[in-house]
Amino acid sequence: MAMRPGGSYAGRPLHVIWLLDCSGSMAFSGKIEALNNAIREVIPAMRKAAEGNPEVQFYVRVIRFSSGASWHIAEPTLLNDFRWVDLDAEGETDLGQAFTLLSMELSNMPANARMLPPQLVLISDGKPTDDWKPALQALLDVPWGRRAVRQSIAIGQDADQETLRKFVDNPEKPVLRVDNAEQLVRYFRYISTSVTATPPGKEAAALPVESAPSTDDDAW
Amino acid sequence: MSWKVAHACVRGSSHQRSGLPNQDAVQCAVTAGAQGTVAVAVVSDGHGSGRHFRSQVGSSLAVSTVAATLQTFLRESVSSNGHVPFVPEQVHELERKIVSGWMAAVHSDLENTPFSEAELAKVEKEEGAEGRAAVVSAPELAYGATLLAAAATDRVLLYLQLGDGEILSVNAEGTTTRPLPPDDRLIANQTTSLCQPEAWKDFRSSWVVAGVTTGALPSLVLLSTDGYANSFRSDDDFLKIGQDYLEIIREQGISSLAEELPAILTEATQQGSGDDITLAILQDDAGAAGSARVPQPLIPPASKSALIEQLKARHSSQQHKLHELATRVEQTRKDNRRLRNTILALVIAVIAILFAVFHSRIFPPSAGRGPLPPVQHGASEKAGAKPRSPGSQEASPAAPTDQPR
Repeated sequence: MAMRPGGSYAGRPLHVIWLLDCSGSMAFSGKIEALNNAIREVIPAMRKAAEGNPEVQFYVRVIRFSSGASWHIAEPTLLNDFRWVDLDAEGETDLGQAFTLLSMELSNMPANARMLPPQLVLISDGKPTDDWKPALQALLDVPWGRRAVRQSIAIGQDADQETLRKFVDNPEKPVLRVDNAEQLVRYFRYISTSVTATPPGKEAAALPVESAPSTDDDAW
Repeated sequence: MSWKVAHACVRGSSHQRSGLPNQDAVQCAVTAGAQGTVAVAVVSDGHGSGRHFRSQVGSSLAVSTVAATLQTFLRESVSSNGHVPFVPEQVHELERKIVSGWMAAVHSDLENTPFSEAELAKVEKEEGAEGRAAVVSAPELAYGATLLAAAATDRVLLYLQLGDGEILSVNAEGTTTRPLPPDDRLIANQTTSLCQPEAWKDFRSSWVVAGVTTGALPSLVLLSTDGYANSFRSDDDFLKIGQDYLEIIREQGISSLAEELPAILTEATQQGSGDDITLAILQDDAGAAGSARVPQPLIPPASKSALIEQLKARHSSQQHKLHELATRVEQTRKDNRRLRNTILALVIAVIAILFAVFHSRIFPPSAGRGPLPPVQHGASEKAGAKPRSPGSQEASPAAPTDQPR
């Protein structure tokens, strides 16, 4: 007779939360369309990478920020259940409000040893228009905010890399700048699959050496 | 009282896929001496990230050095301290001794096997130049590991923990508790460790002494690396192992369980955390055996006789109430019988009257009989009654539908 002391087994949860810039500037040069397309490509790649790591349950959520911030996908959604609804772009760049929304969510998460450190990915193409510094500090003061794997992608030359760097707050993880749709897909996919493919207990491996984007390919 | 032990240590399913070794270690021992049985169980979990690249050696050194240190400590302190086996200062000193003993073993290993360039290059690849520099300046980082230990004699049980993992205590009824306080720092795959500076400050420890006021020692003590608890859907699912292991041991014995432990833990890592899993079980032979258990006095003898008197008085009072109830039941039965007889007599009387009144209709006179006596018609006329006709029946007061209620 097979014995199984204790109750039900389950994989460990890992929450992935994307903070996506939907300000008016994202409407230019097809950036918001490129972001929507990138997400449609990233999700299947994450699912495939997660197959090699069956002991982890990956949940994805999305915050959008423009004039204010709100949950685009509020429920923690398993990769297999994830369905993307396109974002549109208009308004300001209230990144501080996005940080505040995220802080509130992370502070409500239980201090549970089962839960793996969350992955937070910030994608933006401009400068914040609100008072984001105290909001970021509040985020980094929350235990799960401080211990999260934080990464960011700067879209185009107008993105405020300094802000994104302060969000990442890790010299080992540079801000990735993308200048066209193809790069956005490649870098976003890299960041997202690194967390789903890496066994729990280890941070994402160092970035592979990427060749600098050529000027001819620049679209943004 | 005597202690028995069982343990198993399995490689995590994710470690198998990624090529990582089993970084857990376990050592248990039961020895008999002049003061009775001394049992120790020690479990250690080597850290998984890149800079702890010799953590499987670190955990192995932890269990071997600590098992020996604990046995010596228990024998010496129990024999010298009488009713209080040890005081907090002695336990703090023990914690320092454990860390320094592990550190000495690590440095000895380093002398025998210095870091290779390949090892350092791998750290640099995985954790950058900062990771490599950290290991070079503090080589014990490479051996980083946690520690969980339980050490017991016939009447004292000592718990020690540094870092993550779980120690559970299970009493004879199967109630499962954590004998050590939680450490809120142990989230997000971060843990305190033997390899940290002044690691002894991060120990959690407690002990229980069997006695009349303190009760019995636990029937089981379970020590496990975090890979086991992390394999369960919830904390309640995990805590249920206390009751379950107690029942299994009572049914089939700890030796039989020990044979099945590797399969149990392998299933847990595959369907749960994917991490290495180690479980060590200390069993109080009398307690876990259930029926063979020597009962522990739960109340002082002085209170015992008073309680017996109270129980006797309560018993007498309840007997009296029972007698009263029985008398009342008998009286009720008699009343019921009387009522039944009365109703029966009434029914018979009614039938007799009806028979007398309607006798002539039920048994009409035959042709040979004479006509009804004329006096009946006369009586009716004297009362002023109208002659009965079929049409008068609706107004008859005898009609049941018009009877007032």
